[in-house]
Amino acid sequence: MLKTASRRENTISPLTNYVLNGGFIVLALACVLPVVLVIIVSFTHNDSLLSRGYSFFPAKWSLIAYESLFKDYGTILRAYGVSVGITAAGTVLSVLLMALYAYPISRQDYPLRPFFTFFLFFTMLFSGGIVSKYIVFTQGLGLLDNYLSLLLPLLIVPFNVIIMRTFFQTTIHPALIESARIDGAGELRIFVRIVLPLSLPVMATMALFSTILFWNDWFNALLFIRAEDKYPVQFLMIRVLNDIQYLRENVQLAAQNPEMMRNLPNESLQMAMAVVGMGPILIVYPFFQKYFVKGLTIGAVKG
Amino acid sequence: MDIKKKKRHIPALALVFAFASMLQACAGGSGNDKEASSPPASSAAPSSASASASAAPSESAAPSELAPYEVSIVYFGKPQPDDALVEAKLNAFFKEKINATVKLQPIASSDYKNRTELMMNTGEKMDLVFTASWLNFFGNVSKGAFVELDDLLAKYGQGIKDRLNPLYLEAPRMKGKLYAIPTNKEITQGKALTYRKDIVDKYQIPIDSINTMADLEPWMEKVKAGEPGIIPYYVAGGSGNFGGGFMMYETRGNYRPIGPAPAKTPMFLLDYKSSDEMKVKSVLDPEIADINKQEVGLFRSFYEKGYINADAATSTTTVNDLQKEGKIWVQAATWKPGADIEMKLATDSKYDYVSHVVEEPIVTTDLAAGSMFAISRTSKDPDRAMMVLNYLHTDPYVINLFVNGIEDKHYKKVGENRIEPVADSGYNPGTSWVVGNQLLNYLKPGQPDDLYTSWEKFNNDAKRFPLMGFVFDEANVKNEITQMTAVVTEYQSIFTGAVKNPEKLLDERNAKLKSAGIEKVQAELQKQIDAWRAENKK
Repeated sequence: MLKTASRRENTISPLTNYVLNGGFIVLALACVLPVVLVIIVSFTHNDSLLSRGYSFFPAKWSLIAYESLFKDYGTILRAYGVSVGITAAGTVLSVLLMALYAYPISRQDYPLRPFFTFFLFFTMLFSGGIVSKYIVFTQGLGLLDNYLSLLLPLLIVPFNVIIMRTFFQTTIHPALIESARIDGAGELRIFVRIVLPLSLPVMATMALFSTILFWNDWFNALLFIRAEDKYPVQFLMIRVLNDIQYLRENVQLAAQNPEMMRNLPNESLQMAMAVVGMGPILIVYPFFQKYFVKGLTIGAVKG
Repeated sequence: MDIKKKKRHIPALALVFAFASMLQACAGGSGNDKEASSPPASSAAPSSASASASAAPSESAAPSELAPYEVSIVYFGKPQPDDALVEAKLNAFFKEKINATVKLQPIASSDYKNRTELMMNTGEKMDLVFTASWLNFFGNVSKGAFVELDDLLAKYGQGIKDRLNPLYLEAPRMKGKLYAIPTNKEITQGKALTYRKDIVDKYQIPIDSINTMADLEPWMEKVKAGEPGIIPYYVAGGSGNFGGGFMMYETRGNYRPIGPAPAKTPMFLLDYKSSDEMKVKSVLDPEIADINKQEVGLFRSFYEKGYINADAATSTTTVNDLQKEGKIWVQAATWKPGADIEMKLATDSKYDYVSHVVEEPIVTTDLAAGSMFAISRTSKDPDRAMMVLNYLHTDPYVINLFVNGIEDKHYKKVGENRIEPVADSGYNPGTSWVVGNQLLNYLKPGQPDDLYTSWEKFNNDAKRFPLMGFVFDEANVKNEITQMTAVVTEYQSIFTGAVKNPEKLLDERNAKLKSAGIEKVQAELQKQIDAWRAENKK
């Protein structure tokens, strides 16, 4: 009787508390340890990798992977520049464009709302496939070897637009817009001065999504970029990994043409590339994180 | 009220559209200006070496008569930082000779197949395209991706014809018509056991008398006992190197693989010495099944005795990595003259290698069509493409510019025909086996002076497989092959030695292959071979 009184209303028992905390600690470790292992392997000497495999406590450390990675620092730096540039420009543009699309279709009083919602939704159900995409970008728009070919395909993500629309619908009360209008604000002013400031959480979330999307994108580079000096850093990495994979699967071909094998990086170098590739996104993450507290929903009704 | 609202939304929408059109506009602009920036031609005259190309009739057409044209070359090679410099040099040469420029489009190995198929499917303009039997060449021919080359070769490729072994031009044909020009290199490859030389010397291993895997047994034991830390025979089942499958038919009889190979495992074989009948046997045939059983049994015993790495079933470490560390004693490998040196160079020159060939080299369609250039259907000027290809096959200056880069920048000449590559020079594409005439490549450190003469001899001596020139059309048995591929993939690890009771599993696999329709495929294969024989009156 006394005991229960001393506890506050929503407290859980200490045991449950430990179990829950323990569970989350395990989860957290499961997320963090692989990353730590990648970092350690990137500093492991190739000898101990071959003899003992991956280990958190390698027998022999080595910086050689980073040395050989940065021996050709010009390429890496340039690729980094491309990635950072595309990501920065892409994020800003993407969030702006998606907000500009999401806001009108969130307004109940917009007559073309059903059309534009459907127009957006339709692209989620059907896509033209790679071939038509390739034709449009290379032959229609002539974007081969152009940075825009890395930017344009990812600017509007329909699903994210729907999340934003739902956010606008649920947080921005129509009365607010009504009163702003009565005070003499035009649509643009309402959007910029009232809607956007109130929507910071969703804007930040979308910015994070976009950042990750643009940073991780290598597929568009695979399709549209031919010039070595225009590759983003992720594509450089994925290409090295794919090349290794390819040669492993085509042992016979590789055996016939040893030249193909000569410059393949070993595993510590692959891991070093992964470390270099994930660096910036780890730094960006915390800046967005505080906005996640609120959470987002797309609601029960879609489309 | 309603109308008012409508109007007020216009700015937002207008902004979106204005933005989109703006992006498009500047996209078009920068796209064009890239096209226009072809480097200026006319610089240093090509070296005296180019005189050797004079045999080509294309010379007779004065450059001024030909309209300028850009020949794009799509090839299997990692893009290099100095590609543009090499391209400019090549352009200077071709501009003067045939008023053409070239556009180098290297594509890295892993992307090559997907990207080129995409380019073919979308009808992108290409001229010369690298292709090969292992890049679905014959499939692409039947889709109509390439131009017929017989006439073009006769007209503008006389130099190629003069230099290429005639066997080469038998392979890339479909219904009698030529669709690609093979790269001039070694036409076939034998299979060999390749050893680390210092260990062979240390234990005085008589490698010339080791002709089968079974012969290796006593020496495996010795090396295992005397050299801890060395894996006598390395198998990486997790990455497609399934040890036992690689050489079994070569060392146990005259059977050679033909036809479709689901999951890269040969299923159909032909005795190449009794060529009058051309009777196809499948792995269900008792004799073949017996060979299979002996081989997997042997590998199992090797594994149990520790001659094979313990993680043979799952390991994905490449053989090369382990060779660089000196951890492998013997490996089954392909062989051609100079293979040991190539292996040494490919593994950082730390160890010497020595090989003993255990299989008579045979020219098959697949091998002879292993590296070729075709002319794309989308080419606007196939004549010019053939002229460029002719130069790549006949002119030492051009082909060495392509594969080795620019003299004194990417390599130093140390002899008339010999070079020393400059380390980290920005151009090292490793394409000598990809393009043109490899026999005109400058020799690199370690390669013997007589490398190319021994290749020519090797090519001339190579035995012709009775089915050379035959291509199997899978169209009628696609489903069966898909099913067989699934079965083979499931049971692949029995060849690594790491699985218990491989003989029993082999029976199990063969039963499944039977129900997957292997006999139907065999019948189809036999039918096509018979038809092919009748056609070629053999």
